[in-house]
Amino acid sequence: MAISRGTTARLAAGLAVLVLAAAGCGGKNGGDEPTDGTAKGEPIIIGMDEDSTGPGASYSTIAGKTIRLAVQDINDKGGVLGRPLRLVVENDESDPTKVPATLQKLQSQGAKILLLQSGSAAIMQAKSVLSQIGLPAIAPTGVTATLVDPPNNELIYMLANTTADWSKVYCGAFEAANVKRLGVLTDDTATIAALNKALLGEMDCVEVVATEKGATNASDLSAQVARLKNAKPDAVLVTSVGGAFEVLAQNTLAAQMKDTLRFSLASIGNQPDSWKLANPGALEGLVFMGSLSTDNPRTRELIDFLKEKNGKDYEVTAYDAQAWDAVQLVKLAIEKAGGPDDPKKLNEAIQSIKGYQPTFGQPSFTISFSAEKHLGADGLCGLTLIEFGADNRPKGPWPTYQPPCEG
Amino acid sequence: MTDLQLWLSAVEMGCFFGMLALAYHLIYVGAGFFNFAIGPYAMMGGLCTSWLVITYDLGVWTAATISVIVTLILAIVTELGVVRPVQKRSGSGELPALVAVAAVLFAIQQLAGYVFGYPTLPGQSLATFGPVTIGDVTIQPSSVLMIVIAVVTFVVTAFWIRFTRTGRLLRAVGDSNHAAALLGLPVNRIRLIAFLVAGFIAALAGILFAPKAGVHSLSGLAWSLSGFLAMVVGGTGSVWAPLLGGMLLGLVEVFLPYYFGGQAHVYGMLVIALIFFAFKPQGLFVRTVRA
Amino acid sequence: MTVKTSTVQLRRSEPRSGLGGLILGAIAALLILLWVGSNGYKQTLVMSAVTYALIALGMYVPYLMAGSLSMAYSAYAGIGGYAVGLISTKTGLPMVVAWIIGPIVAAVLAVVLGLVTSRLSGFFLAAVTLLFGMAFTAFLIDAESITGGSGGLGNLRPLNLLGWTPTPYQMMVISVIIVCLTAFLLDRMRLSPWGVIVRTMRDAPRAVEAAGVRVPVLNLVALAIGAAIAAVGGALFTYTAGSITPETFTLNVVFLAIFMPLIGGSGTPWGAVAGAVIAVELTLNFPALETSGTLLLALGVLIILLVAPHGVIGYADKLRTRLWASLRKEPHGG
Repeated sequence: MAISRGTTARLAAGLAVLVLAAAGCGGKNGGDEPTDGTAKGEPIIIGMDEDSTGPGASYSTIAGKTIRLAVQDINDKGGVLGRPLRLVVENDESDPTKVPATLQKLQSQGAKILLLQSGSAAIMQAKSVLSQIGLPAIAPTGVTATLVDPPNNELIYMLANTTADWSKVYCGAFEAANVKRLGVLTDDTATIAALNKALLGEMDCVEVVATEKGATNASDLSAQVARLKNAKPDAVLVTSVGGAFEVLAQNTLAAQMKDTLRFSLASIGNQPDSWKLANPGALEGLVFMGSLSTDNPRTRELIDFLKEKNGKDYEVTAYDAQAWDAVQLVKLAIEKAGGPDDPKKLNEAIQSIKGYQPTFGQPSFTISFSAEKHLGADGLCGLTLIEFGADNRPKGPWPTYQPPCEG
Repeated sequence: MTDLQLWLSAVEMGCFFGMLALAYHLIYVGAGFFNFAIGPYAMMGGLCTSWLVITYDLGVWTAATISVIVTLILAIVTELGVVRPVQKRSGSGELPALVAVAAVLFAIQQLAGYVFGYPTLPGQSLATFGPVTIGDVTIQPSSVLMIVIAVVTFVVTAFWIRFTRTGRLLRAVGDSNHAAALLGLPVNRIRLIAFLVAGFIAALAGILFAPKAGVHSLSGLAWSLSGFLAMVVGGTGSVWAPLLGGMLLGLVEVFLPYYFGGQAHVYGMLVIALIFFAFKPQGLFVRTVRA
Repeated sequence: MTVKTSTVQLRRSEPRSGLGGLILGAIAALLILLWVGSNGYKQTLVMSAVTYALIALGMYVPYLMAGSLSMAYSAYAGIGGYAVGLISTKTGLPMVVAWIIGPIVAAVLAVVLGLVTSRLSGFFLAAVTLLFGMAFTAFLIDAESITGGSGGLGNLRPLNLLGWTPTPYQMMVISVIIVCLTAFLLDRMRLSPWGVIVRTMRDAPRAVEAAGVRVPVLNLVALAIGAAIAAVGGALFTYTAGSITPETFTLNVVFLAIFMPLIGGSGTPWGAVAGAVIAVELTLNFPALETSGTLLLALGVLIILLVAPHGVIGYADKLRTRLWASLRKEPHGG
């Protein structure tokens, strides 16, 4: 029993008020869900697993925002089969152990088809859960090849070129730049662990002389970069989900290995918020795997639309484009199936999509699915290598090498 | 071992840990326990500043001032609202105070996550000058600031403890709480002052360190542990002891992964903790009492 | 008159056998199982509560009975989980073996850690064991060839007990039964003469030594049992989740595990279980407060620390005795 019961009771009351105030202020994170627009009728429920607070948040929030804009746009134009699309969102924080609960919750809220906007390790875990709950799913920004490999791959689809294609492009780039020894700087997320295995496993065109791993929340990477330097690589590849880690990595590399050629994945190149966080000039010369080309008319349309909605300073990234296309593909599939309620028909409808022209990649790039092909990209034309300029912004296509594009 | 860049990183981290350890030291001397919430105080300083600058477009100095005030409020609440009642109630028992301070640590982290969000926010540099180049090495302005202000903080604190009345009262209370109370010294006021000064130093450290690699709501736990370890390693013998402890830890953080790769610094911290806690809990600097 | 919470109180109404707690716990468990039905999402909630409860019960043994707060429990739960993962992916042994090997390894590790830290207490012990938990996570990430590195282990085999594979619902029922059994056994232990000795050890170690009981050995036994229980919880969670990564059992879990007995009531092991249920409800299931549920929990813990140190069960119990007393028109004892 507390001696000064009076004061502690008063303090407790104060704390309780704080708690209630916190509860009252709650929900600030849940706003911005799309409305039904001009569509009427029973809503078609789409479930989105969006990692908004975990390691994948740096790219998932970009895609998530555009998914919402796409849904709103469809609803404003009359919806799908006259019915509005309704988005229900859960968050698995890219943690494979939270995935079963997240997907189950989405299904219990009536979702008929899922968008998996999370880390690849989490999506890997999702595959077995999908078989249990029987819903088809699209992973808009997934790039790890093993995500669409068996087992349990009947219900999952991806849009963009995967690591299998990336390794071809990187190998072409390394050959063109005469890179024989590669150093890799990686983070410790489950997502990148899965991606590294898939990507580096395929790249036998180059010798990986050193792989250094840093904690995602590391305050300092100078030790890792010093070790990389000692291995004397011809180039360094940074494989990370982006965010603060990659900014630190690029800063440290620019400071300690100024003259070494640097490559990155699609991460920092597609996270405009990170560009100004890097030290001045630290990103100059960095080559990343991009997917946007302004030669593509649909890309230009999307850029105009997003600049109108998000302000004219908005930088459109591959994540935006893939997110947009994922929603359009969902609409297409529901229309082809005549309705969302039969998951098997919906699944077959996705597989019947051929020759869809996306808002990313070269103008001739298309996306097609089939029963055996769950990876949409038709050919390598979805990828371009883009170089950063001295102002820490993407300058343009890397002059040394570009993936070959057939017609 | 001659790589200047690595030494620079080590010194910068050492200064950060040293400031955290100083905050621990002050509260240990003034209130007699280890305030594990120091890490979250530092986190609050850094994260609140970043959030205010990013969300409300405030100037860096305004945001920093507000953050420091917020942290000081948290420090006061910790002392008056949690630690003092719990210590009064359970007397000399260590465990209730430990659980209470763990609850405070946890609560501050969750509060920060709720208000500021969970993604890592970039630190805001207080410096307005450009990077400094010495030979082959470029030093970022935030690093310069961190090192300089850390040293200044220690100098000012040493002066304060030795030459001002409050500082000497603090030392007296630290030497013997009981005797101080008997002598009629304002023990409770001293405790509060210790908390305030420690909170200020911690918040400042957080603001200075955040530009290095960003800050997020969960950064505080690792910082708490590092600060505690640095304090114990340094010992309580002198005001400068925490800085020494911090520097040692900074070397561990940078050079162990350099030589052994991977997460060697985490193993190193564990080994150092085991060694020092078990064999030399008084640390490297032991105060000798003149008979 | 100050009544220290740690003194042994013989309440006339408290049955020595711990059956009262078991009956109440069993009723609550039954209600929860009925509420779940076949809802997959609710099943995962219950499994989370089961895991938290077992980790909290694991921490309960050395903390509340011997007064030492070890924060290494994320490591012990992780050992249980990785036992399931490793046995499934690297060996052909039947999966049941994981529930035997995992707890044993965790217990051995707890004993080693206990020996190394035997001279430490309070803040120092907490700090070292926290660092140990972090070092364990770092080890899981570094030792890629054994543990699968940051990607962890996935695609686990189903359990096969002599040809019978439990459904997820059955697995959940088994887990709840395990929790109830563990809480009951710990309760019996607490009320038994041995339990009295262990609790006295916390307050008057010399008296216990004088009675001929070796305090350090008891300490290690308590730590070993606690670690084993936590490992069982980790194994159950990993099995039902189907995968494990180094990030699965974070230090967050450890903090929650400290607070759960506080919330539920530290007088009985069932408090840890009650606290686990409350914690899961607040952090995972509160609809309007998705991300602030944990904050509410943290603030709630502070309030309870200051106002109702006996937790929810203690408060309910106090209300019950007051009600009883006022019904019988007896003077309320101080």
